[in-house]
Amino acid sequence: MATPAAAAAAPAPQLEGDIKLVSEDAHEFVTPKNVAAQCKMIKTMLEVSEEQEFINLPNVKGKELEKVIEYCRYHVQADKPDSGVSDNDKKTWDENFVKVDKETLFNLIMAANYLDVKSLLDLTCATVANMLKNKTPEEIRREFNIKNDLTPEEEEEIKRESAWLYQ
Amino acid sequence: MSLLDLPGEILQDILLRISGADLIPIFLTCAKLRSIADSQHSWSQRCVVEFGDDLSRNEIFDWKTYYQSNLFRFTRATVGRNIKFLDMLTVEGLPFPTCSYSEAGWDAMTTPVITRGIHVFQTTLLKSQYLVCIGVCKADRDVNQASLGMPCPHSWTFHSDQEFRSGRTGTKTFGDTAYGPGHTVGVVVDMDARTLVFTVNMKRMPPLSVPEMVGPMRFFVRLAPGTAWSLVRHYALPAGRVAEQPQAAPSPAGFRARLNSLFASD
Repeated sequence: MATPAAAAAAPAPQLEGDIKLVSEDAHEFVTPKNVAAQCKMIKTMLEVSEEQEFINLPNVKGKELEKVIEYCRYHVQADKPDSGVSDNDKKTWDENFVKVDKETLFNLIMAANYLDVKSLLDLTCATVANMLKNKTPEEIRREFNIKNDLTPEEEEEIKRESAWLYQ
Repeated sequence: MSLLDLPGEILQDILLRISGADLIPIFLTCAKLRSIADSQHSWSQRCVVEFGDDLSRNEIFDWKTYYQSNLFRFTRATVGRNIKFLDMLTVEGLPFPTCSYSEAGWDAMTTPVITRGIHVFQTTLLKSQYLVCIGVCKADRDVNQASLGMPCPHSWTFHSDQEFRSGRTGTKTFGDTAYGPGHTVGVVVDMDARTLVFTVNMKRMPPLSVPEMVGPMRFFVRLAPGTAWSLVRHYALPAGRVAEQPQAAPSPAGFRARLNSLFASD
């Protein structure tokens, strides 16, 4: 099975120099192009025009963009064959990387989706999935601040159909 | 930004990584998550159940309701039955159960004709990335035809990529069972990268009231185009032999051990 880290190990494009990434809230991040190109969307834009000096990312806030860059920067280095970083080390790093508050995590999912960083999208979605596991419906509602909008009839039906879950 | 603010396709992506009993409470949380579960045609649902050692005791759920790919019908059918959810696989984009793989040049293999009893097949695929559709059809049917139709209502599709998507690794044992009108066919597949071991339990023959299901059956596996395969073993047990053996705690590992013992005694 490919790990998210391994998935991020796709050959980095031969891009030199830096690119300035500008977030929705006008934060600027000067980033090596080969790091930024881990985002498929940015890679495509760089391939269209290597000469551009900055890229506006209107759907990503600075806080999340910084995290995405941190993720890409780590994996560009760690995934090099001679990096000496083991898969376990990468896994541990990934686990620590997603130890963020829920809002940041959801925003990271959106950013990874928008910027097309598949390995980060996998990592963040898997993290949310793990947070949903082993919980009752009520615990999930409480944890994720979800309002129970099921009608009494639906609830009754669900209770009837899911009785075996609680035996 | 909250969980429910995420786009539907991302929520679905998240739910695809959750399996078995863990998935069901999520569907019971609110209307939005429930609606994702109920999107019948966007993804197929596959229940993986634990058979335990008694392969003849596999009347798990009502296949007719499973046809509807409706989780809640599904769970209703499980109430009161002696089963345990192990896992649930989901397959995106496949119009289950009417996939026409042969139109895309799919290869197929068939097993010898099977009648009553428990049949264990082991096959080796010479390609690690594959998509297989396994099922049972009447022996005289051509599994290469575009659609097998009613004589083949029981088929299961899975993709090795699903193992990745759901975060699982290594050898996986999963089972499925068909409980159609008047007959029961239990199937357990043990899959790793290149080996399929599947057990078919023809518990009882179809009744005469379902003529298209009467007669010897054939187990088939449809494979991705160009996938080389070889049927390594076919081991048949008379019906009831397994049930006579002591009941062990049901577990995938137990089932694996059981399969190994079957092969060892061959």
